[in-house]
Amino acid sequence: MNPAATVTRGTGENTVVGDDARVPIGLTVNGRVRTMTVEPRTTLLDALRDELGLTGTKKACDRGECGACTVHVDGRRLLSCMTLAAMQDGKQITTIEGLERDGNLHAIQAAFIEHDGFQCGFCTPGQIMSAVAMIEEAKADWPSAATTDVGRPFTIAELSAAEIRERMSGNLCRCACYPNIVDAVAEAAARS
Amino acid sequence: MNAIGQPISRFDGRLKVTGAARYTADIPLADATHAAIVHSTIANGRTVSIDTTTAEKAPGVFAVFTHRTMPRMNPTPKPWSHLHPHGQSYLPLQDDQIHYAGQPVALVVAGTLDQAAYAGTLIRVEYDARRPVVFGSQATKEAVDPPQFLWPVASSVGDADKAVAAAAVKIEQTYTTSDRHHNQMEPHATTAAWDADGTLTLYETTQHIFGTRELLSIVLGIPEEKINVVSQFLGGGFGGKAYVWPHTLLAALAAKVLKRPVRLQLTRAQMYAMVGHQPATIQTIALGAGKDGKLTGIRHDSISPTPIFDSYIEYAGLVSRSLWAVSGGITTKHKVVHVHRNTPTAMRSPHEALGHFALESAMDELAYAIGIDPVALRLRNDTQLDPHSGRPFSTRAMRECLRAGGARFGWDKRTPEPRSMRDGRDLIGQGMAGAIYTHWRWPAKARVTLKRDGSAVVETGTHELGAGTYTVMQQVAADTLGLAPEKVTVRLGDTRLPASHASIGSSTMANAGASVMLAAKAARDRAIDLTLTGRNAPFAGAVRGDVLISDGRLMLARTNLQITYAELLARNGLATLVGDGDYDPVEEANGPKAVFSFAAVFAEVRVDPDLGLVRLNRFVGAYDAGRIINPKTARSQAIGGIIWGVGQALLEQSETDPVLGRFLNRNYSGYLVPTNADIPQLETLFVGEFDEEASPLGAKGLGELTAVSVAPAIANAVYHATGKRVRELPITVEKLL
Ligand code: FES
Ligand code: FES
Repeated sequence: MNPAATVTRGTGENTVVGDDARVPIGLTVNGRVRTMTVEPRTTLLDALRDELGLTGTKKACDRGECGACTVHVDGRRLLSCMTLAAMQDGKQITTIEGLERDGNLHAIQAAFIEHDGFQCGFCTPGQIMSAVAMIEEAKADWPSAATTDVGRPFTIAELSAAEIRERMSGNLCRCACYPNIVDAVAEAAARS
Repeated sequence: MNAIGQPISRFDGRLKVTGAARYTADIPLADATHAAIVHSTIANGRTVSIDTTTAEKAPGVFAVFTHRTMPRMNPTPKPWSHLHPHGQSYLPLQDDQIHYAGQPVALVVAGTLDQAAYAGTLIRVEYDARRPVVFGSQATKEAVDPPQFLWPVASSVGDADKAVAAAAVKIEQTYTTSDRHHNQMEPHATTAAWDADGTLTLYETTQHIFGTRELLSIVLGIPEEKINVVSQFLGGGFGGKAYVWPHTLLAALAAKVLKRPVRLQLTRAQMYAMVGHQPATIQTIALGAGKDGKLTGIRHDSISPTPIFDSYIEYAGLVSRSLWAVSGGITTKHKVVHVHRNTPTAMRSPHEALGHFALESAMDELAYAIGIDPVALRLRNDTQLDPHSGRPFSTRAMRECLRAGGARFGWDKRTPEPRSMRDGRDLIGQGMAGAIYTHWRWPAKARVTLKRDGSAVVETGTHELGAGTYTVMQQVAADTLGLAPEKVTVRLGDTRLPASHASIGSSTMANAGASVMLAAKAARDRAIDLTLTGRNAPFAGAVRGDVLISDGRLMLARTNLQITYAELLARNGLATLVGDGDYDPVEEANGPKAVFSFAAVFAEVRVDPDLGLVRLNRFVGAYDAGRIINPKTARSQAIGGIIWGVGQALLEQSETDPVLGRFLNRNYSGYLVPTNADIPQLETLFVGEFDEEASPLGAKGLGELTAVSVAPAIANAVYHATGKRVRELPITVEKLL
């Protein structure tokens, strides 16, 4: 193999100029305060993965179409690819790595294993984070597009398979484990 | 106790639900740099100039490569074929030619991903553009005969033309399928790191670590021993990660030049041109049959697009060679049209899922033409002899698939006339189809090590794509060794492990699984030897056949003599006992029997008569995939396959700009895949039996079988609901208005 020509090279230095100035931020991630400097254009997703090494949160589309990057910000589900890290300064973030308690799986994690709610597992952190927050939304009486009567408050007892399908449809799964995901979420919701 | 046949939860489940499973882009690597690709915006022509000066000065940039500066690559053997697992023969950044839109024209390496991507936007490219050739209605005129690739390009048994011409009933129709993209959730990713001694370690999203190593060795001109390829968890493959694509070569060479690890993850949009796709097909089928429905002839021709530089063939006609008994003759023929696009590749389920749409739709048309029930028509044409090779099928439970699937579905309650079933104002339609899937026999190696603590380790260079490989290999080793599954650890996905085959064609269980079984047997036999002839042998003088093993304990029949693996190793002063498994079967085509998996699938749809919107109501699939090793993971594969078929039937199509020649809908909001809300409950039945011809484990291929014939079952159901026969996939609303 002969190099055809000399490679043109830059300096590779993280020179701080103009738009590329890094900004300091502090996030509470899975209960721990983490401070770092990030480029203003860095998404929360990239900051979690590249700055904090929390690679459980996945990048699949990087434009808000698939749900693989779902995390909780102040208790609500959020697509971490669709927000900048700098915008979340001071917020409480929970990622898939923060769901276990004292070595015990969260009920949804256990239900995903029991019902085989995943195959390759790549969409799974996003599915699980979505499911945990979705059950809280249902408990807080939020209706969905599948709710037949939005004139009265929704109750968790109405969280049917159709409701779960609708509420989980922001999370794509190309291995297509959907029926098992519905079973896992239904079981965990019933027990919660 | 038997682990095989039990619905055991996944061995790697905990890793996957906690985010601890490390996929390729998750591997932490000190000093890693990030690469971004700059693409051609034209589909045909050449680059006249590429100005990289501003990009090189951008913050964080280490290097910018173009065709002038990227080191040369060795071409792969001609003619191009998947046997050297090269996604496409055209190598990246080697000349100024442009053969497809999205082709790389530059590579930027920088300290962070954002820096690399931003610098890429500063590169100015001038083109000399020409009008690209695209695959369209002109295609049939430009089609040419390709060189042979996987199977013979054309086949002929008997005289199909004569049989069809003389038939009492004839169906002759053209069916088309669309270009589709795999869209695995995990984008392709590569991290390349070179040691000081010139060893390349490549973390790669691949279904074929050994093939990747072989190809890199050829292209980079370094010995295979100097390359390690690692793929321990794959975020979906579906055939799209079976071969080596250009970005992998770019990352490996950039890392070599820069002497620093380079990470390159494709963006979602890049997944539409940097890696392969399933090509569209235009298929013409002619069926000839008697008034009794018995087939006398089949002619099945298919045309598909391929790039200017390679001849990829989508063997849509394959299915017609072996699915049904045909008395007079069968011919199949494949042609290609060279257009400006990158090379297509295998996508779940290549060849079969496309061909079945044509054949099983035509069978439904035949059933209506004769006035016979579609299930009865299939039963009438069932056979135990492969019409193509003349060999008997090893096992073929088609009859049982039709019977059990139909009973579960309630097929007998269907009224056959189109538009005869309703639910409120919605039209209800029920359709079915049969299916056949090729079985692959490939060599595979494995190693099983019994350890002094009574546990065992399985090591084999196969992959976990989502099918549950870690789990099923654990089950196979546990049963063979006589150990509880929890005592067995499985290591996969590293070329430093014993060599295995590509995880494609639903072959892993039957082949890699057989190698694990043989390795476990070898380790177990060595342990038995020690009980008979080892140090202070507990069963000295006994015969091997009397040694039984259960729960890690070796026992001598009709005595109380026993010893655990742990005690046996300690007594013999051994830290480990190793067994090697070398599975080296004859190729299926050269065996005495024809080995295939089979299915019958039943779909019910609901169609809104005003909007033409089709929704799947329910679905039953009955499968003969031989012995099922793990019913839980098998069911998951089956529902996944069915949903793949729903995507093929109703949603998925990659659209090409007719002027610019580029794929247009390069994201999940333009390229629709099924979502949770699209899918009802699905029922799966496994009716197969142990098939010793298929594998020593008795298993046949399953994963891809389940994605086959979903589309024709749905299309047939749509016909039943509406009276409209849609012969073009996907079945979108405008086709029903
Ligand atoms: S990666 Fe954020 S939605 Fe897809
Ligand atoms: S489990 Fe593979 S994408 Fe969902």
